[in-house]
Amino acid sequence: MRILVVEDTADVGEGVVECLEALGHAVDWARDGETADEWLRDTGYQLVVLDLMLPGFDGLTLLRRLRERRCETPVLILTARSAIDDRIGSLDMGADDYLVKPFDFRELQARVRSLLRRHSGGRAAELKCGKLVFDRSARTVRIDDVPAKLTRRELSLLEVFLARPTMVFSKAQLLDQLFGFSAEPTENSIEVLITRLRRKLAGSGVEITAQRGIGYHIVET
Amino acid sequence: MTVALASRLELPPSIFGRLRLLLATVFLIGALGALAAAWTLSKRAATDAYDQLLISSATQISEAITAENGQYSVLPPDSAFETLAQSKDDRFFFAVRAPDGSLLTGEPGLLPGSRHQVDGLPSLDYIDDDGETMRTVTIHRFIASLDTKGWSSVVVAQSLGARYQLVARLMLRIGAIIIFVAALGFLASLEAVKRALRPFDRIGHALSSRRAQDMGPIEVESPTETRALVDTINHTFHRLNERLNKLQNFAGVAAHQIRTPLAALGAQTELLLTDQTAQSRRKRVERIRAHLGKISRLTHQLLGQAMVSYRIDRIPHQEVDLVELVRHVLRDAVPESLSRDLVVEFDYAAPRIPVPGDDINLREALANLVNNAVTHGAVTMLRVRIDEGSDQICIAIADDGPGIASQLWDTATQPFQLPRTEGEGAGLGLSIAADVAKAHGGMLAFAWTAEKLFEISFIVARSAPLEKAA
Repeated sequence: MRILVVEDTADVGEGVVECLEALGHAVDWARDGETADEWLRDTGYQLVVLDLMLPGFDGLTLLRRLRERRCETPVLILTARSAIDDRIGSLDMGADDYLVKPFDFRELQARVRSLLRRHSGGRAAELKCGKLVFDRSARTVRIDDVPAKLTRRELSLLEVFLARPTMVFSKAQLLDQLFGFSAEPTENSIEVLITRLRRKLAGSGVEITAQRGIGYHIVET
Repeated sequence: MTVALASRLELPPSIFGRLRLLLATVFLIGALGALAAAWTLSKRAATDAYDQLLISSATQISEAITAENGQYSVLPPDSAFETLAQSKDDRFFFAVRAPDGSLLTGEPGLLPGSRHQVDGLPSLDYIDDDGETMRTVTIHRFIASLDTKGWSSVVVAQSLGARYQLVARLMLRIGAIIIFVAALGFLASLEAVKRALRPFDRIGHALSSRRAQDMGPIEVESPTETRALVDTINHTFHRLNERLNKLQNFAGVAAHQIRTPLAALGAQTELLLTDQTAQSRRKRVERIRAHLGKISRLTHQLLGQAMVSYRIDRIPHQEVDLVELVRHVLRDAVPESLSRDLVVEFDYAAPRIPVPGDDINLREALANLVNNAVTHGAVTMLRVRIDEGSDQICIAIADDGPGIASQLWDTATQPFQLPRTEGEGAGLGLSIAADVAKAHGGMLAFAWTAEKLFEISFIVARSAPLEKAA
């Protein structure tokens, strides 16, 4: 994935760029609002990591211009100002998530992964398959209109399948989407997770099937 | 010049000075008006009185005109001049003329002031005699005998000295009375104003003479009109004092909480420079990262605490939908990087549960509770439930973690009272949540549920609390 980092503080920017490159993404680093705006017009990014306090014009202006151009690229805000005011302002302006400085880089990686996952397969608020309805904003699943008790990781896994129902995912791809390269879990843990999810989806008209040697995909039965 | 004028036109700085200026102006205008009225009335009175004398004298003279054998003659009685002679400094003279206009007696230069011939009706006028103004009265009288008849005339003129003297005498007395009454009124008003303002002076004095450290109530004798002011000042001092005490305690503990991890950080960084092996360096860096995390969380919470207490005092409550708010909190406050996997449940009684509150403070409080539950507690599940009572709403946050030992429940909401012996928290989260609950007419409660879950209830009032928490 191609990610744009907009950050003027060199030490923070360097950390963010390296941390995202470690996830295997191609990262461009703009140090002010004008440059970022120019690059955003020319290049298609899958994600923008945006600092709010920037030289030139600030992050909120950049975000507003981006949304005015009807560009739906997910935006993760980094802010060091009074957390909540910025938070609300930026979420209203169309940011998708935010992190308050100082932040843990593991959390940054997790948020980026989650944003990319959530924005795969379009921005639909609900994903439906069989008797199953996945509410992406509330992060809940209902089977036959009864809430299903899925863990956060099970939800994420289900979301990956539902967002691209025709695609077959290898264990490595799933591991990457759910845990990242640097995390400890092994392919074995993916198998455990899939087994648990299958059990919870019993009777929903949705099944996760294995394609021997290739991976898993979701089917409506 | 204009500057000098402008500064002279400026109002006096004190209320007393302004009222004094106003009163002086009112009394001065009043006194001048009264003096002008007195002057007009005295002048009219003197004129009327002396005119009557003049008319009576002219009438007596006119009645003494006789006609015999075609000859007119006049013999004015003494009494006609007696009254005029009483004003010693005044000159007077007269002229009596026969119907043919010939002078019978008196001054030839004194001509009748009026040609209007009505029997016995006096007509008054002023004339100028060698530069002196004189009052004249003219009376025409119809004289008839056997062989002759016609209109004779009498003119009497008198200088004005006596009138002026009378006016001056009257004005001296009336004027003195007016000035005396006005001055008395002015002084009495000034005294009244001074007395009315005295309680303010006392309050000002009591405030200015106290030491900066003195936060006790001011004690001054104050009438009912200023009682409210004094009470408000004392109440404000009381609140300020409480706030300062709290702040001081807080600052002391916060200093300790900040300096300790900073010192640890310094020490570990020093040691890092002397570490020989890559393995020991890595261990050192891990510890530095842990301390940094602690300082970061503490900074978040200290700033959060500052924001919350500022907003509790300043921000008016608006309608907040708790369902929407908790949904946001669950999305934001559960870290994505959490290594444990959790079931997050959210139950609510109605699709919308509105309460009066401060959106941002409620968010901060609930985010702290949810974050606490997730990072210190929840092993496999976190459950948030909103229950509606008749006058309260309870947001219950339950997890299957170790919870807080019940003997610590009483102190857990105090700042920096860490409920866990070995925790990562800064110890402000529960205190912030408790403050916010209190400001929303509720409280924080701890419990163990029947399913052995540890549950923190964040309770808020359904309607606006009567009094905000001080």
